[in-house]
Amino acid sequence: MFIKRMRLIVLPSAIAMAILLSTRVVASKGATPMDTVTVALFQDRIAEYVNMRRQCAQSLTLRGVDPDASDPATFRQALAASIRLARRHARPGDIFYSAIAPRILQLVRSELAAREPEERRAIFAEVPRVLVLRVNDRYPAGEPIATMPPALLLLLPPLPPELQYRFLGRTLILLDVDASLVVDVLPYSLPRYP
Amino acid sequence: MSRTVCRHFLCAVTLVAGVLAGRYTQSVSAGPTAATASVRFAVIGDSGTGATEQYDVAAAMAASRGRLPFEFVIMLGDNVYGGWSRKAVADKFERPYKPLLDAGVQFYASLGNHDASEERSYGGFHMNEQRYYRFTRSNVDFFALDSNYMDGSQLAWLEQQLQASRASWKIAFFHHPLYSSGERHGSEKDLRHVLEPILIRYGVQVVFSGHDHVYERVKPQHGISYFVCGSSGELRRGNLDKRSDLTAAGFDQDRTFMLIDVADDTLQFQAISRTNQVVDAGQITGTPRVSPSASP
Repeated sequence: MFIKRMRLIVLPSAIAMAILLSTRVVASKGATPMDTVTVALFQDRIAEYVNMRRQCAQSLTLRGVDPDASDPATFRQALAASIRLARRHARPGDIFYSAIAPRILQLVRSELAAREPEERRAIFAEVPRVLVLRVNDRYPAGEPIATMPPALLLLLPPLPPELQYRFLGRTLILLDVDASLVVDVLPYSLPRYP
Repeated sequence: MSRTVCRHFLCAVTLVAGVLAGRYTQSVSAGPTAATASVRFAVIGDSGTGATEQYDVAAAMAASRGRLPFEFVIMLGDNVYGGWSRKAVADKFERPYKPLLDAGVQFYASLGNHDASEERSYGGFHMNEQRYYRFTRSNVDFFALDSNYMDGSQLAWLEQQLQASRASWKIAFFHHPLYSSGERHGSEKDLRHVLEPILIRYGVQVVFSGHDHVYERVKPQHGISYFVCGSSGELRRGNLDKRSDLTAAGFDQDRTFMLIDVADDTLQFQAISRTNQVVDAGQITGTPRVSPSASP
């Protein structure tokens, strides 16, 4: 009877421990480089965006909107409006396309899972929680921008200076820095807050 | 597991490198004096609130120029809270520091997590559209970094710039502290993991950061002196962890700014409160050191 009871306790505990340990190993192993084809196709889409953006900026300059004006906000707002118009049909997943999205998601989650709980808490503490932004929304003025964990940044595919990865709520967004525009979103990138 | 082992290995390597470098010692003595030609500057962090206390600190800074006529100010981020607008920059930068700006004092900003990207284009911050940049005064090289987004490009840039630097003093400043006893945020370990080995390797002697709204002089870490000066506008009173082993000196009862005077192999510092009280002072003596010419 006692042995049977012990089995009931010990066996599930051992299985749970094994799963936990294997998850941790997977988590550590998860931060492996992505395959080059998937990343190359992602970067093609990034390059396409940057090219479109450059054309928007050039057309603004031709129309007399001065990027070097005394108030930098004027040009940036005009740039955001121009990009938004050019991408009026943009949808989530246009840049975080179907092949890259799960890879990035897995990479983010496994990298965070491999950290100490204290580190995870520090990262999550700085992420604005209540905001829900869609593609082509502007990042709200005055809202702090969450610091990106440098070790994670070094694992993600590099971006040109016009774009940055940022967390907002549980979503990873692709942010146009100067236009303060959400270029794409990858929902549920972050696990639930601890 | 492998991550922890790597970190310990990295720490050991950086510690040995710091000891071998043996570049300088830190001692606390009298504060800056205006006796010799030198590089003199002030330090402010988390300043841009637009509240009365920021104006008080600005007035104390202007008054302190009588004692130490500093030529420029480095800003440690959160320079303009609440988003960018002409009114915001007037209320939170141009008006409080008007006496300094009128006297020709220049401001060099780094970006905090509350700063808008427009600040890079604002002439008053001398960022020339860049998130990170370097400038030189006499025998001192300054490296302004964007700790909000420390990507591979920035790390590569920093390494290249430090390698090229022939200045006797290399000073880095950015928003998030690698070491801090602030209870609100504390040390940014992730940032430290990627940044500190570079700072050690290329002989950066002093680092200024903000983010935690207190003043703290951290005990030298691997031969580098770290200061947190994030209370030039904001303040988290009583937020310094009194049990922290990191603190060499700290002040969390009022707003502060810093005055720095670098002459030859000596950097003198003072931390001054909003009411013009010197809350910390001392000097760092460094042996001029040239960066390694090539990567191993």
